[in-house]
Amino acid sequence: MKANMQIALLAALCLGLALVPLSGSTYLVYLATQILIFILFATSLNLLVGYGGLISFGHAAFFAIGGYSNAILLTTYGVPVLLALPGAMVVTAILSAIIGFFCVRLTAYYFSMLTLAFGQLVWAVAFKWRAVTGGDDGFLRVAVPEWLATPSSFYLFSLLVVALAVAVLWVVAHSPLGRTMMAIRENETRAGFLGVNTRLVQLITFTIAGTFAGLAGGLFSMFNRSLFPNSAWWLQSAEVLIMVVLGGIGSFFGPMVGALALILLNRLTLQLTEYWPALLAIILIVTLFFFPNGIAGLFGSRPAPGLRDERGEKSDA
Amino acid sequence: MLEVDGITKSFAGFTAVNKATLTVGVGQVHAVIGPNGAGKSTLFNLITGHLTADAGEVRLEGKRLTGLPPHAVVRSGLGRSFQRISVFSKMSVRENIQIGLVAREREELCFWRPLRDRRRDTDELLETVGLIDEQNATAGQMSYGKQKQLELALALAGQPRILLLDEPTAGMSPRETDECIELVMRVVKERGMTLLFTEHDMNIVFGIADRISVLHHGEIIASGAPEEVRANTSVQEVYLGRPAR
Repeated sequence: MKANMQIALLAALCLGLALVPLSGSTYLVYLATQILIFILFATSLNLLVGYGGLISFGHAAFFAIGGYSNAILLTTYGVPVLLALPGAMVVTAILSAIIGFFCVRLTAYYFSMLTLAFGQLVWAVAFKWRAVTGGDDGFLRVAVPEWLATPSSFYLFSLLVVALAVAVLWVVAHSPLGRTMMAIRENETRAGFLGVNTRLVQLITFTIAGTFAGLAGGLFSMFNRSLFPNSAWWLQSAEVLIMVVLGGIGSFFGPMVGALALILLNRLTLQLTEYWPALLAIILIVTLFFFPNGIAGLFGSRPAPGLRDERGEKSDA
Repeated sequence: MLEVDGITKSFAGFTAVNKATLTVGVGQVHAVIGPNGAGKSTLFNLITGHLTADAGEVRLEGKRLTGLPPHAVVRSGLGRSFQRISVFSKMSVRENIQIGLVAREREELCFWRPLRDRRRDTDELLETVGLIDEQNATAGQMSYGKQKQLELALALAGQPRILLLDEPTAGMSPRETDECIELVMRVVKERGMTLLFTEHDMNIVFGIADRISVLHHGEIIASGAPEEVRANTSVQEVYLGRPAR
């Protein structure tokens, strides 16, 4: 019952969101598109951080890889968008698998440090490989196809892509793989001695998370019509991590609320003050001390074990 | 069934297990005994690959286990428990079992569809170890004895041919100990498994073991049928001569 109710609510939410362009406000449509893209980005990271307990400080690398791949395919090679986006996902998947191969060999802090290092490496490549990425001048004039040229059409396209991608990530989070990730987070030794190939599970999760960050990056490159090396910079990784923490680690929908809240706060404060970084720091400190379960935790969703609330759903179903 | 051949492990100059050799036959109940600190748990962790051996080799049904990662050891047909309880303590009992069943069916990489409930297999395992009434309890909040039962269920989840239990009754009251041993022996008989276990309680060991190996200062000083071991003079010196435990 409850699960069906949730699906109905989400479908209604998507339909409601599809009406945003009717408001006639271009600003609102832009803002909503940006939020959608970051919802996908944060949800992909949550698979790693929330379900797997793997704190990545380099998730923006995959956002940037997907972004550049999509931009290059569209603009440099003239590939149609319906092939370019999947193509960007394939490129990101391959690079995530390679980077992940090294990262999941390490645990805890070392994993985090290595993701940070790889993130900076991707930034350096984007910065230096001027012929392909445009270097620090950025990749400008991304060739967005005509049918996505208006803010409204691009918004609706993003809404469709993000909704589908989030649905896929939901299935992954509730699949045997997702459940096994949580088990590894809790007790890696035990999981191994149940016969679970723990590293392979983590590698596949890392690759899936990276791939969907790449899809978010691909959308962003068209949204922004340009892309800069800064999209791979560690601050970008930190920002999406803050979205996950603010929204609620491990609760599936929490990070979406986190993305929404952080972007709205950013917009509001930029109009009032130039001290956004300081405010961001304060938000993070307050969240960590007083709302460790994030915004989702405030509404009764208890994330940390990740399982409690889901079990509730099932017994009601 | 299981051959341990000259396995050795040192920690910073201290030799915890020294050239330990033992053979466990199919269907046997084999106990490893020894005073505290004799190296029983280390030996166990070496056999299951939880620790890397400095020298020596472990073979299961002729297949070399040494150097394999834990999941490969388990997939070779071995199930183990831990002396210190090792379960998924934040998950429910039922969820613990489900992870075990996912692993048994090699389904842990399946990400394209939601987890199946596996009601029948889960219930069966829960009934085997007597936890059906606690299935929705959070594992870490159950009594010590119940957590030990769950520990056993997890060791059984992979349908092992050989079961390794590290001090299955450690920390239990006499009554819990009796129940635990009865449960283990029943399951081992029902499923036709081979059992290798460590134990400090002499009464239990001589009551149920077909063969006993005695570990002292990391070395196996005697191995054989209970009567032989009981009659062995060096065993009497280091172990049986003193009050049990």
